[in-house]
Amino acid sequence: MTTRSNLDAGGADHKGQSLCPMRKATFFPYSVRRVPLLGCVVLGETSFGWDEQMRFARLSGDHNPIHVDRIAVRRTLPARLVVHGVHLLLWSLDLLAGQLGGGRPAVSRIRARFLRFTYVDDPVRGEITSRTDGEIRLRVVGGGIVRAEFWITLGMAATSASAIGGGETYPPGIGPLDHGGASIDGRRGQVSFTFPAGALAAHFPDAKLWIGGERIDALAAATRLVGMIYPGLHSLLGGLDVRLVAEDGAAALPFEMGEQRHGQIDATISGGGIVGRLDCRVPRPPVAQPPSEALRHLVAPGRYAGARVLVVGGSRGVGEASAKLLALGGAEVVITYRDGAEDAAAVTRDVAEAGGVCSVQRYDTADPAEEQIGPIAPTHACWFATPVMVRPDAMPFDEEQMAACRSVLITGLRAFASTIHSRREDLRLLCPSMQWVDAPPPGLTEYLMAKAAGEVAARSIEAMLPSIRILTPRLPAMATDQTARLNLASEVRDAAETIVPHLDRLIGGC
Amino acid sequence: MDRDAVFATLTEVFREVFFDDDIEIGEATTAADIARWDSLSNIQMVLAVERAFRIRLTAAQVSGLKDVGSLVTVIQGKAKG
Repeated sequence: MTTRSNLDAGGADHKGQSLCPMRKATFFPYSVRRVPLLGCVVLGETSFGWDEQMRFARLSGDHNPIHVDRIAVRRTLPARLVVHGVHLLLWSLDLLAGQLGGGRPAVSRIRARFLRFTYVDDPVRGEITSRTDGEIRLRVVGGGIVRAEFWITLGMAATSASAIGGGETYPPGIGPLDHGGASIDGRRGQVSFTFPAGALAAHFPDAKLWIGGERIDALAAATRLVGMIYPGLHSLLGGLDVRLVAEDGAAALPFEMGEQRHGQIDATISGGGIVGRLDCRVPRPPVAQPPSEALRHLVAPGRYAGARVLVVGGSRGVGEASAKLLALGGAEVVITYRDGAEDAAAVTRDVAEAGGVCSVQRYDTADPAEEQIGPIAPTHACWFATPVMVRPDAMPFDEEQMAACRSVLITGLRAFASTIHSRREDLRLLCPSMQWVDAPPPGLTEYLMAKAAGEVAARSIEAMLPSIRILTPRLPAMATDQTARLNLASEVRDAAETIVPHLDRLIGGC
Repeated sequence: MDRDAVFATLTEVFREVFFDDDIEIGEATTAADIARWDSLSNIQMVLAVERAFRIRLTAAQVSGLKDVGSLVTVIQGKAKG
């Protein structure tokens, strides 16, 4: 499993003011250090593409969705596909081993810290930051930000290590296991190496010569342990600290989980020529909106009868909650999705099971609205199309992020409103803004700038098309996948309860 | 456990967590004084402190810390011997 992100509220802005940055920062949990190239030896540069990513997943056995599932990853902390941390480590070791050549010293210990996600297709650079007789320090840098740090201690491997026994054996193909929040403290067992033996090491030939193919298999088993077994589905590998010991010809990696504390749990491993600790983070699982039946008490039957509502972005989050509520109230609902066809289908099934009417239409805000809306003639509409709200690596202002937010929240809104207006002149459109516009937390600058501009865009659309009415209430943060990334568990509101009065206003004509 | 003993153990913890054998800590040391000390490594440090001193720190205690000196005080209050 892999590169970690900060899951706790904290930030570099508050250094020096508190021992624990968590005391100060509430929203943007990432501290970012841009690093200069000067003084470092560049080992190599690359970007880990899809094919390489899938090959590593197949050979390591770590198919956790944040590495391989483009749709599912949208609901997780990284929001985009993430390179395995162990992949970064092996790549770096391979480059270093190649540079050191045949006289390379033996390795006795490897420590790694995965600081920021490394995304598939993003360019990265491996660097040597320091070298002494006893240690070589490396880092992986991408976008000017340190993604990972590695400390390679030089010396002879130890001869033996304590064994870990007992528990189940986990062959390849199992997982990712979802333990549903149940305690995994003290669990033990062994993770079989993925076969054929040596297949992964063949892709890191210099590293294999340096630290041995069995140890590479053991490191692969370690990433499979974290990403697929324990903690499993909702987990991140934050770091590792392993000493090299005599290879034992093992075909599995024994492990024992520690005690979960402060959102982390460590795993002790011993086998395949490595012994040490894996540092695992256990973030909260993606937020799921309640089923329609759980929302029935919020809406009187027939409340929205006669309305035909197009909900853009209705496959998840606030859009999903809105679609369910509208259908419960008797509206005929059409939801749209861009990538999550299965999510959208799940919403329509849920609505149908609750006795409502809901159909699906794909809609991409980047494509011409006229071609996508087709014959749909709604009486009302909701605009819940949302770009990625926060990019963890964003500096105080990120042009690319701004462009993405503007495209969806302003340009897309204008195109949609104009197109729908041509079918329904007195259209009423709900396009919520956010209360955060008044006090923007760090990390959301671009998103909130676009939200504020969207409010102005709505007024200009109304001036241009006098019969249209666009509601732009500033809502509090609501519990969705996106806000879950901000670690605001105590400050977000229930999406359904928050949106109901605004749906009333939308349909009721106030 | 006297403060000097706590500081001695804590120094080793900091050097291990922040991968820096040259780290020296004092009563007023904060995150601003140590290059790699951010909210990511802070959790690592807290867990390492718990292991080293065989204590448990609550989330409230962690968030209430102002500097290393206050951490030492908390450790003294919890550690036995």
